[in-house]
Amino acid sequence: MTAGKRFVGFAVLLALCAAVVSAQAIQDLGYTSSVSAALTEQLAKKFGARAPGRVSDWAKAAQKLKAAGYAGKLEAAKGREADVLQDVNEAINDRVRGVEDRDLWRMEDYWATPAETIGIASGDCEDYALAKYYLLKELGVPQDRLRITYVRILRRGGQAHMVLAYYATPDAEPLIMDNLDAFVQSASKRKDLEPVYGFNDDGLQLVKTGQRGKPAQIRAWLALQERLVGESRL
Amino acid sequence: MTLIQQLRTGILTAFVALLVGIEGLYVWSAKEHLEDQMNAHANETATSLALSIGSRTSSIDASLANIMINPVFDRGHFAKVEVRSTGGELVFGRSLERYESAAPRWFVALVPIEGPTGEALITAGWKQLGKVVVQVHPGFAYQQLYATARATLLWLLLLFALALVAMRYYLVGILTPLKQIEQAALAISNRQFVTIGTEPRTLELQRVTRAINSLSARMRDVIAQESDRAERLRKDAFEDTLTGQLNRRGFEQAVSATLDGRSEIHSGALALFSISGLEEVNRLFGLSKGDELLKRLAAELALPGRRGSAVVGRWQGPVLAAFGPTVDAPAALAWAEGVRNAFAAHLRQEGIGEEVALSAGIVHFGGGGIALAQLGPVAEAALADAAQKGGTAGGVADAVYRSGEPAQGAELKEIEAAIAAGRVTLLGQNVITIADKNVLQMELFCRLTSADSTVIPAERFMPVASRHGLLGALDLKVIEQALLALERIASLPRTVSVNVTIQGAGDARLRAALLELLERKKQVAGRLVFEFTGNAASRAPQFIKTFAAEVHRFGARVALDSFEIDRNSMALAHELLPAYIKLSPAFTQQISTREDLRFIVEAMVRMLRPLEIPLIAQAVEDEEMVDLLGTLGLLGYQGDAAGRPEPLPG
Repeated sequence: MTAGKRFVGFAVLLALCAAVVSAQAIQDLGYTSSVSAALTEQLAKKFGARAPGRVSDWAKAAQKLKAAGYAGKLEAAKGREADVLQDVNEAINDRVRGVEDRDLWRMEDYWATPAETIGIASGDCEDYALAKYYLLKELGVPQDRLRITYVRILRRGGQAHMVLAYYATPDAEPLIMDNLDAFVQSASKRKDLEPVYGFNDDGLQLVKTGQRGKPAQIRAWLALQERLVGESRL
Repeated sequence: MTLIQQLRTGILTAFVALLVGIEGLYVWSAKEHLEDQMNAHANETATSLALSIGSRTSSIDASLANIMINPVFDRGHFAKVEVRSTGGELVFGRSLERYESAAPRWFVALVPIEGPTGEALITAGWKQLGKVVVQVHPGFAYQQLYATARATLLWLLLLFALALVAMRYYLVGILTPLKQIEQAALAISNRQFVTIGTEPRTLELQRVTRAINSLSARMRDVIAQESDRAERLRKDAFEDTLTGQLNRRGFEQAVSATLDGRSEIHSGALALFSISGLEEVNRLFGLSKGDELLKRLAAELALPGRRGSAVVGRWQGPVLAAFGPTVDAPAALAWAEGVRNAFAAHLRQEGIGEEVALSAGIVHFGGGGIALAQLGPVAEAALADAAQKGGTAGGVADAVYRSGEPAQGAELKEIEAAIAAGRVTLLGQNVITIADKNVLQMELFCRLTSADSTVIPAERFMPVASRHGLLGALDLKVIEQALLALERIASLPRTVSVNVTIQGAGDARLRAALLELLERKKQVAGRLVFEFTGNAASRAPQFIKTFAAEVHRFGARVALDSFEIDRNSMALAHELLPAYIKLSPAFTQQISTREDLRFIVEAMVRMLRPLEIPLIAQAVEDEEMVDLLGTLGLLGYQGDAAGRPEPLPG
């Protein structure tokens, strides 16, 4: 084999490896399983010595749910999905204290990664919704059933808020996972909320393979994705 | 490929690569930017449409979708706008079958842009109604990208052209000193030890320049020292210390060279001048007065005349000799009278009376094959006759010597016809290296034959050819035959020499014919060496330099033969840089008996070595002489010991 052919072969192999690693990393972004030791160390530096314990605890809870066949249970619980979703709703609501971005991050609007939210044990409505979204994905729930949804809280004069909506089928009435409500309830019972716009990261994988269709209009979502990629490289 | 060509090619390649790279990068980056913009546009449009439709209905239908989509689609930016139900069925859609682009097809093929698709969910409250799918077509993007690419390319080409111009001047600045160094190196390899005038500012080139200048200076010193040494030895051997002119040996050698069989001199005069009464002058005016008069006379004889300078030497005692080649009898007599008158005037000026008289005996000669030994007694007899007839006043007497009647009548016609018909046959004589007895070269001689194949001796046809201006035609014929022989005979040595005369090579028409001949036979022309006699070279050095440059184009070279060592010979060798020098046969004949000649030859060898000019001896007859020549440092020899001239093989 000539040096030229060897070089071409090596380049192709390298490109394939990079593609696999990249796809893997994209698939796992935001998952408890993708938290590395370096990320844990970084979280400890940023949020204090308790952060690694919180993250570890979160990961263990996720593993436990996964081991119990969470996705299967959800699939099987026709009409009772709210009960199953309650486990995830509580898993996040219990670990995160509600704090506004300007107090927590000294920014007007900051979408924290799940690891950051758990590490600092605080966050606003977006951080709850995102943490639940990624945890459900990690547990094997199809992402086309999940919609991160902008809503208005009618009883607070239309205050902007964010929840995670679960659609058992595309036409079904969604179940709302909200940090302001301890229980997962159907949308029709949440008269206090008016939906505005929902999205998920359906297009993310497509973006990375060169096609389009990502929810690019959501600037904060893009920033979040960048931070997740950054965490995956640690 | 020269250095400047390599640099130009390298830099040009780098520039082109850079231009292509920058253009490619720029176009790629613009493409990415446009794609991002289109992607945002697709998503924003999809989101806006989804929000608009969702806010107006709780269930989507085709007519609503139609109303909402048409205004957006008709703006012309989209390849497709569709509304689909949650199950994926098409509710309503518009699409372009084809779109126009201002960019040419090759550009579209070279830079593919995919029209991005944006999707957004249509929701009514919490209920998902379906989705809007929007695909932007890349026609406008191509238009903008092509315009950008063209403008960028134009700017880059402009910059590229400016950079090339700047690079040219930059390279010229850098490489000019290198060119000077190269020229100096070429000159040195051509044995001209030149100095580079201005030192370059580039450090490396400065060092090379200094090294070359130092080397050249050292070589020039060596050559100058050896040249001075050879000149001193020559003076000791061949010059008369009193008069500063040649001594008898020097005079004989110089005249012999002039009358050499190959020379173009076939007439002239030898004059002997004798001062009588010098003993009386010495008695009356002191011992040095007689010497002063002799010096005065020698200086008078050496003054250049209308036909150039005579060869002047001391014959013996108070007798001085002057040899004037090609001088006819009336001119010689007039010149001798002039010398006598000038000398007499000088005597009167010095207050010397009748006690001193100057007599002159002149011998005129014509025809070929004349030697000084034949002319000397006739001139001495004429001098005695003049002294006797003139008495105390002195006088001039002349005589005529003919070696034989010049060819005339039928013989003259025969010779002319033979030359015109080219009845020339060649004989070859090898030159052998002294060290290993290899054949160094072959010298070709010509033999002329009459119509009945009788050989015409050289001493008969050469004067005729010289007198009738036929030497050029003869030379050309010989060169033509030599080139044909080189083509035909594989066994000939690598180098072959032919004799050329000034009369022949000096004829512009014949020289043009010669150069044309060399052009025609350029495959073998590089094997030729043209030999001029040393005497001819000293008469016309500039012509020989020009001739050498002309034949050098074909690889042919110029050498000197029958080379005498006179006061100009060292400078001549240095100036002409011949391929080799063949010493006059007179040297060979005397070298075994005269140590001074051996010293001179050794000094010459040392002087010529740095100039890479080998010395070759002629007329070498035995091995004993070959050994002696070897100890003196000569490269090769020619003569009976190396083999007599033989007809060419085949």
